[in-house]
Amino acid sequence: MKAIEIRDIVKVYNKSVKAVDGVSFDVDEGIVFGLLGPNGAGKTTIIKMIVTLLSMTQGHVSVLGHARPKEDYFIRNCIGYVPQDVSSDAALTGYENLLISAKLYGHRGRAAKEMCEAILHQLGLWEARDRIVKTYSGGMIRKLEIGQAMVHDPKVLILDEPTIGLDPVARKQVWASIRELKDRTKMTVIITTHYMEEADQLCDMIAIMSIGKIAVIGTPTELKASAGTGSIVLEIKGTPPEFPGARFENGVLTIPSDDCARELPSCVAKVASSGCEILSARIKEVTLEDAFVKHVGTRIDEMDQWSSVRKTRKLARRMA
Amino acid sequence: MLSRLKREIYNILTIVELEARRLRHDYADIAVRSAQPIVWLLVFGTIMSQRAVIPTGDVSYLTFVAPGVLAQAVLFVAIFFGIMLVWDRDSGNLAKLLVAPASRISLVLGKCFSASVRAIAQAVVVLTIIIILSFGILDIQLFSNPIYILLTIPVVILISAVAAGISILFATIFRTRERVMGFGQLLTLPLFFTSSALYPITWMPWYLQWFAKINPLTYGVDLLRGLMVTGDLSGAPLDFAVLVGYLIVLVLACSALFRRMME
Ligand SMILES: Nc1ncnc2c1ncn2[C@@H]1O[C@H](COP(=O)(O)OP(=O)(O)O)[C@@H](O)[C@H]1O
Ligand SMILES: [Mg+2]
Repeated sequence: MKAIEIRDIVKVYNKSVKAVDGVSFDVDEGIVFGLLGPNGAGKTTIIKMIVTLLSMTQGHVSVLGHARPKEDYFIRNCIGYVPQDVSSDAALTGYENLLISAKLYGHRGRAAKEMCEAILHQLGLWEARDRIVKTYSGGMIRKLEIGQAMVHDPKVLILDEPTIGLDPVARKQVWASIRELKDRTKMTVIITTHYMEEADQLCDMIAIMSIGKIAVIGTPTELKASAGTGSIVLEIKGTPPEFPGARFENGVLTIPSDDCARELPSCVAKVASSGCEILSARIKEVTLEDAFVKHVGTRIDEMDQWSSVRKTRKLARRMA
Repeated sequence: MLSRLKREIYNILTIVELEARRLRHDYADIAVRSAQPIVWLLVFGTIMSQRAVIPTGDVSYLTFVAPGVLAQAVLFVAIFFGIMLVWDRDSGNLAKLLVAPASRISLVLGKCFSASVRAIAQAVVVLTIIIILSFGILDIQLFSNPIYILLTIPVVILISAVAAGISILFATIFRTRERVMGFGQLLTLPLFFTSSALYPITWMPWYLQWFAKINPLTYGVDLLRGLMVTGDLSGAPLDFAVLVGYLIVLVLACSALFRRMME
């Protein structure tokens, strides 16, 4: 069985904004699946349709074989959801937030209490349990929210931009929490992100999105391979020997290679033995960034800007 | 089936518990809000009672208006609850409740009774002050049966739940904070002034009397006045039925429209 099956979903807001425009994909059980795309691509909209918060304008969604919207109640029982916006109650303590979540998923009395305490220990929030969430750092809140989404041992955990707005240290901690949970529980994890590095680090499978559509789906390795190969870049004094497919410009020799790290020593040796002096050597791997450019046609940060400009303009118009 | 029902009741209680815990971290709110009805009683009440313009039968005007002031305190807490809900939606809090395995009906009921939690806290403060004032400080004669005074609490729960239901209905229809706020304000005054809180219904022109008859607050004030002042509960079954009827209709309407709020 697939964890998630999505067929041709379309979402039109207010009969005018087409946020998702015919998206289909499957998510196998037990993997980390990533939706990667710039702001405004429609990631949150897709997630909201999966977690039963939004209705589909067209198309079908099913979670672990339960079809929306008929079996929404079953779906809610087997998913954990961490929204993009902060969802913990800022006026309550960390412990209280967990306790309320535990009770909403049917835990009671002592069992609920013990479970919350165990989760607080696991996430490293034990010391802060009786502090109001308002005083938590961004990373602590994210970890608490993940804890709240885990009280019922969900089969599928869905995280919308789990590290948005976090500093690099907190981001790494949240990654570690997600990985640890996944290894321990073997659940399926779905994340959305607009950080290339995050998708590359966490995901087994990535769908690259732009403006309401999925451009391509694959493993990080496949996606990178589709964008070409890496290369060995040597800065050289003199005339280098021949390499298949290599380019030599302004004293820089670029040799394409499927396995740069392994071939680097032999290339260096060959150039050196030809009598050239090597000034520097480095490896240029293909990144997801390259894959994004190849399949979408623009860099992700350029699209980001474009959509945020559009958003601010829209806001300005509404306020005028 | 039965276990599902048990689970839903538990969900309602959990949502109410959430509000109680929020309130525990925010005592100041109750204190500040209690000032308003008391000022109302002291200023408006004393002026009106000195002029004796409003016919209130055997009881003093201050005695007549005391239950009305309690009802006002409760109404003002609950009628803006829809804004809190819109706030919860905008902040992401509501999403958490909506993806939990709880039916929309328990969610709306839970939120209505959450308003009751705040209303009870408020009512206890206001009621205590009224009782203190009635011991020779102001011309207020309460019905001297403590059980009747205690019975005002379930009435407070019912009134606030209905008022919150109205507010949530507006929240599901109007969806933005500003609009819900505006409609809350627009609605509070007619609800308050066309109930029997400040003067007997017979004192109003006929078209306002008609409005008073469909105003749920009229029935709430009637119950409160029966318990606090007259001790006459002959109208209580009807009052009670009307309020419960309103609550059921509002909860059903809100649950049906709730999805709209998230779009
Ligand atoms: N409630 C809404 N009403 C109208 N338009 C919306 C709403 N939510 C999102 N949108 C629009 O839909 C598009 C996709 O948004 P979203 O799913 O939030 O993208 P992402 O999560 O990838 O940043 C954007 O253009 C956004 O402005
Ligand atoms: Mg988003």
